[in-house]
Amino acid sequence: MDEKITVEVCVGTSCHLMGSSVLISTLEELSADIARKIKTKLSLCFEVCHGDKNPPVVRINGDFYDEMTPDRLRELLLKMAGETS
Amino acid sequence: MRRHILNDIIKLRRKIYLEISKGIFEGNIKERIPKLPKILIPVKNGDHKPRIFYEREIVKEKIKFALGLNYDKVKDLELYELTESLDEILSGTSPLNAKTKHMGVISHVCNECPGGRFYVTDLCRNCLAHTCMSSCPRKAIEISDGKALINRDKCINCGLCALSCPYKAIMKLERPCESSCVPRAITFEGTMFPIISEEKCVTCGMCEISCPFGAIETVSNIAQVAFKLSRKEKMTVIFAPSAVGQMGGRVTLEQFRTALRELGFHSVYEVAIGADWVAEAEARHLSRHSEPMFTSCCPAFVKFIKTRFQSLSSYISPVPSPMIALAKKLKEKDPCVPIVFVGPCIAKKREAVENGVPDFVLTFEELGALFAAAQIEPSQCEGEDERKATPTAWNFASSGGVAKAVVFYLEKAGEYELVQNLSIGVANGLAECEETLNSITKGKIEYDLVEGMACEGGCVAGPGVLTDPRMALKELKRLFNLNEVRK
Repeated sequence: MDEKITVEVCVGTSCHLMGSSVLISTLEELSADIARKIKTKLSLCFEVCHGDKNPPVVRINGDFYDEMTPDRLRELLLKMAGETS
Repeated sequence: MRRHILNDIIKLRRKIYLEISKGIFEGNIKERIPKLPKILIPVKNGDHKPRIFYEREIVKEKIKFALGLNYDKVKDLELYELTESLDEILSGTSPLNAKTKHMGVISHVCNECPGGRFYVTDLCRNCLAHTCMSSCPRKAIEISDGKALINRDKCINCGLCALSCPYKAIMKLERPCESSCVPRAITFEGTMFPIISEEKCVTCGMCEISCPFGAIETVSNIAQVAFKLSRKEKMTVIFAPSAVGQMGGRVTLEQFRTALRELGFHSVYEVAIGADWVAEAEARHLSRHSEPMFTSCCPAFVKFIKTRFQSLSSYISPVPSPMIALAKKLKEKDPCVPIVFVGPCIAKKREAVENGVPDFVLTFEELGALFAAAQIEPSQCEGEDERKATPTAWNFASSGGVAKAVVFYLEKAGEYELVQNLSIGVANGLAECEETLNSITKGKIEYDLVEGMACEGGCVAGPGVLTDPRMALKELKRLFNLNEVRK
């Protein structure tokens, strides 16, 4: 079994305001095929959004991605899941 | 259920609310305001420049709404001109502050969509049947360049060609603002931008969330509330039943209360208490009167009846809405403390002004911006337990919930026979409200109790929500163990 992709969605106030709940819905709606390769975590503020990162912020396997949109998240995960399988 | 899509216009509005609240809390609002368009819409290499200037103009005009101004009076002002009277604007005493206007059109930002006309799209296969031509009563369709073409001089916009095309290649291009407006309050009186008829407008907010260019905006109270919070003035906050899940699934109602207190509100009450009073009073009214009763909790539904179905307006429940009932009670106790209502609704802004209470109305979107500006994390708050209302009162937030609550109180009063024979109509969304009211007017249908909500899905799907309505409803049902609502 390959290692799972860890997706941490920030649910802090700023990220929530800019749509992190939509990102959570996106993760929930992924097909079972992809979803089993992903470990989702809801995280408190990463404290990066007060600097150069703009909310909503998502951390995937330790890397920060900012201004995340549902489409971009889906695309990214599809690509990464494809690589790990 | 209304489909809630978080688009860039909604995000932009939230960013403006956030920046303005930050400026007020940090005390640098005067310097910040004129720079906001450039801060929020920076130029990056390779950007399409006219687009940047267009977006900056949208930000500039939206700031005026966020500051709670009467747009008719400040339309031609530059942002730096507003900073001189900013103290008065923030304390709500400036003549520029909006009093009774709740929606506005930023006419020069409007993209002037060519609405209401039929167009032949690229899906046209240049077939041999030419059904479109045969169906047209005015012979307005010709074939040119291997494609059907509508002759504008002859076309009467009947739409028969669109109906007849087997490829659905002919479409009507509709203006989103106009098609979203059930009360038909949006007109184009010789202009390309929309004009909102204040008489017909029920302030449901659908035009605002449907305009892809952000040319329709609502007047906000966020700046005035933030200003009072920054000066530590004593205020009471009351929040709508639809608050469940609005700050994210991780935040409990108890934590939400604490977060409101940390923001600076002196007392915190749930409007669900008022919903219990209202449902009980409406049950009593229903048991004592034989004529039908229409629920009065949705101010958009109430105004819709009063303007479009005047003959039915005597059936509107005489009981005030939960927000008004609770606010009036609190004002009696403490007349000098301003009350802020937080909900998903724009129509509540109008209802508050018409009734004199509460003093301010904020949406969850605006509250979220205040939390973010004050760096309050509701999910980290400890939480205080003060739930006094019944689960049935919290259900006011979803379509069907109010009718169910009235039935609950009828049964509680022992009116089982009345409940058995009660015919209930639940109108979910303004379009359904129109349909139901039409049927009642024509005598096609008879109801004893009609629950009407302008937003499809109820308040959980209001224009000012932060959480996807489906998720919010799921959370509401889970938290209060609510079963499926009977229809």
